[in-house]
Amino acid sequence: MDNRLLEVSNLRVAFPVGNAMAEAVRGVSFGIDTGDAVGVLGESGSGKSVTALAILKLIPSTGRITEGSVRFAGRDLLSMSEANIRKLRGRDLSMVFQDPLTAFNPALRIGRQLLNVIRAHTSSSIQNARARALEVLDLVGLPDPARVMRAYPHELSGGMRQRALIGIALACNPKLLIADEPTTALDVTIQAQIVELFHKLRTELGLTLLYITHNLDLMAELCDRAIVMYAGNIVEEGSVTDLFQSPRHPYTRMLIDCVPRLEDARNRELTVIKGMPPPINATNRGCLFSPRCPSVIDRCRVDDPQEDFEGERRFACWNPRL
Amino acid sequence: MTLRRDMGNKQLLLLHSIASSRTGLLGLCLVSAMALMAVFAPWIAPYDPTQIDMLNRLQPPSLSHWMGTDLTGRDVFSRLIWGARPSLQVGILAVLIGLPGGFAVGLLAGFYRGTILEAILMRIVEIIAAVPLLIVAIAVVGVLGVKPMPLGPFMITNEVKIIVVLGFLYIPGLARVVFAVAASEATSDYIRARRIQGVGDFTLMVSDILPNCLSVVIVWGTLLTAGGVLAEAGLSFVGLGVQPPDASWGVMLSDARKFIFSGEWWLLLFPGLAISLTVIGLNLLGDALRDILDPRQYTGPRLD
Amino acid sequence: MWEYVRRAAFSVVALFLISFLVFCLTHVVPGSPASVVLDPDTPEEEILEWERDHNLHLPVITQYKIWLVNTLNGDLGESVITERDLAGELAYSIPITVEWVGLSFLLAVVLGLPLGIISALKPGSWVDHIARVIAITGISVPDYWVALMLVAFVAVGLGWFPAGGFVPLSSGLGPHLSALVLPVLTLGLHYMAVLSRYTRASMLEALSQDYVRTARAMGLPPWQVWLYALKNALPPVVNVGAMSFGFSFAHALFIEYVFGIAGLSLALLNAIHELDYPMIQVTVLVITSIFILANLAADLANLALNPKLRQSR
Repeated sequence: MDNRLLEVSNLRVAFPVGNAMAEAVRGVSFGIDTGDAVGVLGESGSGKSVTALAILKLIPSTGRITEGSVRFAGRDLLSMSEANIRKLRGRDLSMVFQDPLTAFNPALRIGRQLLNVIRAHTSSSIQNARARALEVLDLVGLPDPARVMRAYPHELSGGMRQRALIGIALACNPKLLIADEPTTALDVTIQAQIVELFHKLRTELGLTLLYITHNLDLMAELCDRAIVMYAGNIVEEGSVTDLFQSPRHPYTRMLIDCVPRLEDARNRELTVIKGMPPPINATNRGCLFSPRCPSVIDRCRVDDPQEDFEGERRFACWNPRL
Repeated sequence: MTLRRDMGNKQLLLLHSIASSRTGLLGLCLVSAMALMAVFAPWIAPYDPTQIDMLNRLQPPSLSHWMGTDLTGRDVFSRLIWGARPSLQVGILAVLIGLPGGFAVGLLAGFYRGTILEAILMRIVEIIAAVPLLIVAIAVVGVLGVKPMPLGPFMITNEVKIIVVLGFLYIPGLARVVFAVAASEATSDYIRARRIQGVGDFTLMVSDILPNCLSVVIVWGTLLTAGGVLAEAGLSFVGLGVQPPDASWGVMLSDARKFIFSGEWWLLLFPGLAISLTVIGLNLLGDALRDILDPRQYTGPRLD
Repeated sequence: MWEYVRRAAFSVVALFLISFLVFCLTHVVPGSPASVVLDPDTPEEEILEWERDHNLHLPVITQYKIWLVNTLNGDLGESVITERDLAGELAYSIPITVEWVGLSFLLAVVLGLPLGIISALKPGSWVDHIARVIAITGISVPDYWVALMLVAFVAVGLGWFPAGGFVPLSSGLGPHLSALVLPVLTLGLHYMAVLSRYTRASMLEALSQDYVRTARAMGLPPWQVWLYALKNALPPVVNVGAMSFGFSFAHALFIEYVFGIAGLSLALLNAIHELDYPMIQVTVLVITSIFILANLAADLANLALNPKLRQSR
């Protein structure tokens, strides 16, 4: 467990809200080993995207990482200079964003953008870079790589764009790929294709993946392990099987219940988690989920939940389901 | 930040927002100062702006004449105060004249997007906009002559001509800005819902869409007012605006021109400073309003 | 593509309309040009004859048609007042204006673009604040006042540059350029302010886009990230720049007036003062044409820079 690929410890990220700083990420710790596929599950505002951006030190300039450490392949990222971490970004540690249309520069052809990345990190000649670019576009399942290279982003369909974006992220053989809701902006049928692409990349390349999403099913298809986040905290972590079969934290349980299934009785009411996630600057004592929790007990409103461990699993709840 | 309707008086909230930004506050102060000066000119000005006093001509600033006297002995300070009137009048009234046209064209074109009406209206807007504003204004005013023109029972003064011409030429800019809002609102769900309720087109345009256009119009209008002040001063400067002996900042600069070689600096400095401060104030105010009301709006090309 | 043909067509229509409008205006004014040109004592019959010579007895529409045909054939006629060939006068004054306005724009671009870019890259810094103050002042201060101040303090006070703005090239390059310094500075600083404001806004907008974040996430060096943003930030600025070029003739008018530069805009002003209607007609037309051409150029530049527009709708 010592030389994990990515080790995040007690990460705290804060943003200014009004006159004070509010924490979007409140002490998050987790690890990823080479070859893992870890999912991060949570609603909007749970802090999952901010965590990912913090790992790459890409949070907007108004925000601040107030505490914690991030170690990647043994190196401390947070204390690294900007110049050094730039060498890692896109090369060893890559990220794929949610909206492929806005993620590309609309004024440049795809090929140019791809080549820029390759040549920024390697000292290849133009020919080698082009060859690698075509190779990567083929790898992500684009049928006519040469045509895609010449195209502008708006000339491609949503699915093709996302593949191209994944391609750029993979161009320099990253050790870890972080995917932040890569399918949310796409049609359902295209979503399935992209998930399949990730699957293929995992099996063929042994790609290590951190997959952020709010969609349980997609996550379940791809990942072995999952982290559930709520209001800036990790509330549960475990293997996907364990989480689905015996979730400990009430939030996880409700997330699973919320998804309607074909097998359910037709007249069963849809499960809904009442209420809204707390605002970023919430400072209630105790568990932040307690206002919405069905199994809340008095202690929840007073003390911050402690983490409990159960083999490979952990969860933070005073009244877990067992 | 959004204006929260539940906080009651929207105007107060707006003022508060403007005041809390430094540039907005400065702009507001400058504009208010100039406006007050214009309104209360008869009471503030120490002397009659057209009163000639040849014995005291071309005096530098002193205790009795704070900004000195001009070539015929008139008190510069008083002329400065009175001079605020034509500039601000032209600036504001021109925009007001352009507003009905701008709203009408913009609302109609935006509401009936995709129809012949929109096509015709927007083409007309394009054609008028294809014209260099100040040049045409100068040409029209110049050709019509600076003497008051009789039109039916009215005597049209020079100032009125300028206001009407500028107002007319402002219509395309205002129309475009209103059109952008109206076009996007017209297809929105709440309009559709109201239509299903049976509300007529005209009512929809006036009571539902028009209020949404107010913020962009306020911003654009403020900037146009700044342009109008500069236009009036410029026209007066070249002799096509306010005629001597009336006071206008542009006329004062025109008078000052004869004296730049002989060192009567006060004739030159103060009117120019007055124009500059007014326009700076209006621009700062416009910027602050834009940041508050329309933070993502990227203002289109202006009249300069 | 058709969008641009259509816009060009409308520009031409606008041109015709403007010329017609000004023509009508000049003939609506009570009192005929004859009273301006001829002595007040001229007998009635001579006045009428003069008017008939100049087609003034025909309906306005007919007069306009005659004028139009003549103009399109290249015959611009003669100025009623100076009786000099109008085409000749234009040929003389246009290059003068184009030269000094062109130099002003060069100055504006060279100073304004970098100022705007740096301002956007370091928002809130002292550079940014100074740049914004300069920008607001530059667009608000009337050019003729700046011109007068420059003349008063620099030309008269310090004596560095001449107060008159026009020295023909034939008198030597040095004096020619030296006379241009103050007018170019006046107009140039104004447009430097305009451009820097738009560049700053446009660049800030571009920098906040997702693709900038992606570019950083891919580890691209900072200069390349800024170029990414710049490539998207420039088209609106080019647009504004070209439109400003068209508008600048109004400013040029005031500046030529102050410095006594015998350019196109001053010719218009003089024509107005002298009630030289044909000259007014023609100069307005020329200035409007330049304005329209500048707008078209802006549109074409947009087309070149923004690949999205190349697709037909």
